[in-house]
Amino acid sequence: MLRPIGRVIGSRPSGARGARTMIRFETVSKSYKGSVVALRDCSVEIEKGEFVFLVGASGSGKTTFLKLLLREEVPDEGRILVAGRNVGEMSHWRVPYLRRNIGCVFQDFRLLPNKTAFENIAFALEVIGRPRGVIRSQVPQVLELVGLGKKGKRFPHELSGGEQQRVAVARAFINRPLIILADEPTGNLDPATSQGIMKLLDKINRTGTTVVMATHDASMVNYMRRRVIELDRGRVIRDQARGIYGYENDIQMASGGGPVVPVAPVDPVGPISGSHLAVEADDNGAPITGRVQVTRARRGRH
Amino acid sequence: MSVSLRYVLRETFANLMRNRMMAIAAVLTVALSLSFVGASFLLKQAVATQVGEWNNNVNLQIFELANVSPGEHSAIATMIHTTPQITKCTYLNHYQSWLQMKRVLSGDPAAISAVSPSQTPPDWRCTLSNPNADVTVAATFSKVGGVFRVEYPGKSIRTMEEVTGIIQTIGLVVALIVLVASLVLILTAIRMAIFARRREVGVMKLVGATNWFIRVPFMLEGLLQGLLGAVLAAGTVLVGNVFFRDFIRNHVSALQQAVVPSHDLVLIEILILLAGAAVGAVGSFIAVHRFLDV
Repeated sequence: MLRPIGRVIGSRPSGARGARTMIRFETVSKSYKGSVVALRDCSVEIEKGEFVFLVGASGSGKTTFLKLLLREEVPDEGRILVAGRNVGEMSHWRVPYLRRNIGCVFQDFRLLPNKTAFENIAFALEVIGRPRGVIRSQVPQVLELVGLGKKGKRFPHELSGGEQQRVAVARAFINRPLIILADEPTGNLDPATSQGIMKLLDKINRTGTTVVMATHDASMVNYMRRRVIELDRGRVIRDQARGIYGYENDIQMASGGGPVVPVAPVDPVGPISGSHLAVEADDNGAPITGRVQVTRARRGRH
Repeated sequence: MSVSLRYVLRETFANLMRNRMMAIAAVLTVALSLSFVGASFLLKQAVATQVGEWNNNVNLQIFELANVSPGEHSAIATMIHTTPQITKCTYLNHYQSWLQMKRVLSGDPAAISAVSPSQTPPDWRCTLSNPNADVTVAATFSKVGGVFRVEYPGKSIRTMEEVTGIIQTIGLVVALIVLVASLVLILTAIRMAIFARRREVGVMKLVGATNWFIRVPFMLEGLLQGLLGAVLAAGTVLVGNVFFRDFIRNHVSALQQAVVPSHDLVLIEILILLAGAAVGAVGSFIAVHRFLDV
């Protein structure tokens, strides 16, 4: 079983490598059904307490990267170490204990509709056999942390998209994992709400939790200025300590060459326009129009 | 651990309720199948008890009067030893005979207490060289002084044994077919339960619930369906047995002894419950291992 290691509060080193490595990909390759190559010779090292953006077009291998970390997939070649454990060779019965150390947040929230916010969060503790006393004391704390202290009794359909995602973040964090993986957590949210979720993830990161976030949200990446790992057709093509979504050149061209400032979201449908939108829809299997409507509806509430 | 137990029980019952149409179908098929199993065993036992005296190669039973005189008794004994058709004969005195009756009538305490050992006729259990000679040998002995009555299976009893044998076989075959159907039904019910709860299962896997924890509510659900069907079948068999016994008592005097001894009845009930639990466990085990991807 993985044991939580003491956390470094508020420190996010980017240079030093070694004993504090939380995630380590060593020349990892993964392909599906023999033909589609999802990851090619990918080597990445992520320190404990880091905040990392994983960017790249759809199909670049971001989701495979996260799935490999969770041992939902096994690499064809190479090694993946999470907190010093070789995930690929981990025996089957150990996988649940690995996952207890990794919290997950998704674009589609994945809350249980028939449970209240409180119950959704409590469920994560319940199914790993935590005593009721722990549940009673921990869940309200985490609800408070994500800013939903008074909304524990609401059902997901009674909450806004942003609030639902906060519940999902609370559920991911309730077990105090070493790592939080977020797969496009703001993909379904309008920019203002997205910013709230980002701040929340940042807050959690400041407690020492390593955060890996796959995203298409350029404005968020540019605003946060954290480490950016860019994937392109399964290869790591960029690994920048205080990176932005695209290349510096692109941004400089876009913003007129001046210093990169937080890009204030102007067009709410911006991040999900054009080709992104089409590919996104492929990823979710959801119709494009549905997604846009949802986004607009959510905006209307805020 | 208590929270786990609470969780497992809560989830199991919630599932049963949510999936109740399927659960009812599964439970009823199990009940039907196991009722058949129970009924055919019951029939076999009842007939065996009635005809039971004729097993172990006993072709003829000579009952002496309960108050037979020693002279009459030794005369009968001599006659048995000198009859060429009788190859072997065992004597049961008053008490041994009473014990035998007590065993046969164990399902009916009132009947036992009505007869004391001294009132029970002692009997001779004889093996004949030719079983078909039973009628003539019986005729000779029934006229002897001190003989209360002579019993032998006769052709009708032998036919009855054969017929019940066939009925039992048919019953068991039907029961087996329905049992397989109920297994498939439980399997499907659990599969549907798994499908209905795929969101929960997904979240459970995500937050690191162990495979055991994810599987147990489903396996327990199947086990409960099987067991519930078995309980229904056990009840049916129990009630059916009482009706059968009363019917025989009131209408078929020739089959007075066709009563299932209580220890056999208990055995049949246990068998039914075990079979139900087994069907439920096997059905849900297959479903969980084939359709629950953990």
